[in-house]
Amino acid sequence: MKPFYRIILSLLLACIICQLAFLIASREAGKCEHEKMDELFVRPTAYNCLLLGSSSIHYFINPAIFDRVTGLHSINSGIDGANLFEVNMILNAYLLVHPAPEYIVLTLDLGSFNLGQKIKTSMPYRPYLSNTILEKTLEKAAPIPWRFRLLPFLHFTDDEYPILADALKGLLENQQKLGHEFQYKGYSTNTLLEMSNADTITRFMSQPVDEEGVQLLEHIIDLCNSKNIKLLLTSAPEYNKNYQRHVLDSKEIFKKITHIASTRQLDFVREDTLRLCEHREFFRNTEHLNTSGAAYYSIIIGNQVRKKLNIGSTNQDGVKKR
Amino acid sequence: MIFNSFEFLLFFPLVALLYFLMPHQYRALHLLLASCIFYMAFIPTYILLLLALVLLDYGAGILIERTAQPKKKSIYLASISIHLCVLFFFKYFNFFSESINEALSSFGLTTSHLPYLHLILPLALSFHTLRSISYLIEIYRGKMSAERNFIVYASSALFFPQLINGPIEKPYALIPQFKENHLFNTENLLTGLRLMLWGFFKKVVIADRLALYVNTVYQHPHDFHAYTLSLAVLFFSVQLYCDFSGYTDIAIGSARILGFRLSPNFNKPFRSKSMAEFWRRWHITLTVWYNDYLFKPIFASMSSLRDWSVVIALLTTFLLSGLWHGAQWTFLAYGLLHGSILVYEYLTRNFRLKLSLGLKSGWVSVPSMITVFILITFSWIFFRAQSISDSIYVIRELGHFWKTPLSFSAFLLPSFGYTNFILSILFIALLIIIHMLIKGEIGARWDNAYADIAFCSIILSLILIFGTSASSMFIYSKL
Repeated sequence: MKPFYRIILSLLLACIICQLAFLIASREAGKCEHEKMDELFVRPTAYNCLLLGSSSIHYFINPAIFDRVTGLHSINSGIDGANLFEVNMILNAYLLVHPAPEYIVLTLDLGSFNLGQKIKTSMPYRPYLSNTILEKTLEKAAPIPWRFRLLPFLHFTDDEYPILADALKGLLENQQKLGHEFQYKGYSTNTLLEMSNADTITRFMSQPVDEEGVQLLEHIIDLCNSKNIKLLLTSAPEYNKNYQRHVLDSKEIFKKITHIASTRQLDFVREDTLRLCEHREFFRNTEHLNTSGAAYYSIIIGNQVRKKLNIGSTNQDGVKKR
Repeated sequence: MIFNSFEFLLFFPLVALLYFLMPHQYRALHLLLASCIFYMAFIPTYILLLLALVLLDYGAGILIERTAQPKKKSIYLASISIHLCVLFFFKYFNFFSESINEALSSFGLTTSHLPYLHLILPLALSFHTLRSISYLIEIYRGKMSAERNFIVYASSALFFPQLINGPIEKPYALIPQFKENHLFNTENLLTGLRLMLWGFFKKVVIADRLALYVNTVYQHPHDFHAYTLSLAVLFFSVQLYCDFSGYTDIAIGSARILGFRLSPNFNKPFRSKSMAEFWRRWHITLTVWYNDYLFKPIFASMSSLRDWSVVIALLTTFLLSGLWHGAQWTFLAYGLLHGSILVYEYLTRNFRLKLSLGLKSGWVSVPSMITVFILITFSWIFFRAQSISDSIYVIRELGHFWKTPLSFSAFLLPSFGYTNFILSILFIALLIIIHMLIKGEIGARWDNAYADIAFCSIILSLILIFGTSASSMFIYSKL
């Protein structure tokens, strides 16, 4: 066979293999977030508490524990890497389908106001474009690059979308075999592994405060006011303030949030000052709690929410008195 | 520009296309310009340094050829000295400066300190120095004529496929190729692409994945116990092989597409049954360089000392080799270790031969291969560690498995994850299987078209699906 034909056939066969692998991986990866995304954007389940934010919510608050402490029926809508643009989109898309919750806990982290990349990855939302909010927002903010339209399997090379890791989780049928990971009402465990010195951040970085991000936070507050939703703002716990010490804009960010909270008469709870944050055994890396840390933090924030948002008292087991 | 980058995937096809469309008389210039663009993707101004050195070699080569002794020798030694001085200035000044300052401080002499220069080592300088010295030596020895065409010489000296990390070609083998009229050849294209694919697979699927584990452990080795350290040590051996041989395959493959033949640099090194054999299979062109320009001259100058001449030549060659790899005490230790093992092999060769005579070859080969692999892996602790104290810590901890209960999770790192761990093991197994199944060279002609298509399409798929897309530098580029 002529060399030229070998090259063409090899390329074609590789494209076929990759596309098949992509279809399988997408289907399996979808299983991971499928339940959560269905719950957020399709099923009109009435939750009275929405936990909103990035991975600082996703891996940090376990509704199984949080609900016992608060007596609420919550859902964890945290999406990894979500900034205020994406959080705003998730909130509006959620409200399109669900009745407005009574309470929202919005966790802001140091990247919340950085809108350099509005949507970290649009892949998890693609099956839910029947939700008009998602459809319109993604069309403008995260249109699919031409190379992914032409050759969808090139998503494998997309750093932002860990399709392989998620596909493996999906193949092993929701993570029970992968180091204690499981999901419950949008929450995912982050393993029991503890951080090491190697996980400590040493490089300095910038997380700029975009004015649009500030406006989006104001918009979220206005939306909550208009729908009589009680809103609590929190910052994410982190190990020993290691991350914020290496973010050049951290003081400005906290100052901005404190100012907005004060102006809008909202509580802003600094979770980075908790004693939990001094114990590395609760952290998977400097910015993320592990499963043990999340369990402990869910109790803490549950009590904070009860106190700050004046939720009904609970008995000793943390169950709301009827 | 690095090979595993989007820029190179655009750059190379364009260069190749223009190369074959261009009239033959302009091709050397085209390659020279392409090589300059390739190099300038790093620190653009450093191309001026390289061009100045190329100009020096060009002029010195002609002068050496034209001049008679003793002026011939003076020019020859002066031009080599300039190269060594430039290399010393950029690569070794700070190392020696710091070492001398520490020594002075330990003697209580704190008043005078040598300065510390804040300079970045120009990429490719180490390899370029060896190539240049080779060129000057061959002309001096009369083995080749000095190249009169500056463009031809410069394009061969800066030829981008082998500019950064070799192979270190003999000038009399490489320069004539720049004068040949290379016609587009689909066989070369196929072979070259196959080699490049294989190189990319080793680099982005295996080496870069293992680097995530190795880098984490070696950055803070004191945080880890025996199991993690042992796995990092093992992974580094595979990472180094895949990284460097991957680069070489891409270099040879891309040169092949353009019609150039570069020397192989690796020949299944982990099948070596002795350290001497290892160095005939690993970084072959460097071994040839050291043999021709260091070992043999040192040995010849001391041949009256018999065995001692071999001992001195080996130790000196490998000490310098260690130092060439990097300006750190760890690299000196690495070189000394290799030199010592080779000395041991040389001095005990008769005894070991007698010992093996009564044994079946299989009983000798397998334990020998395992022993060599262990020795190599051990020596690479010094190669990779950031200091001698870290190296000693790693070595000491490797003996303390009893401190930690054995479990699967003992090998895991939070930052590495189960997925990467499983994939790493699978790909290392795949690498071994492919090496066992394919007897000849990957780049050799494949008569079975269907096997060829299957191999290439599967490897390409694995690169696209499992390649880590972080554009990381090749290990030897940092030395």
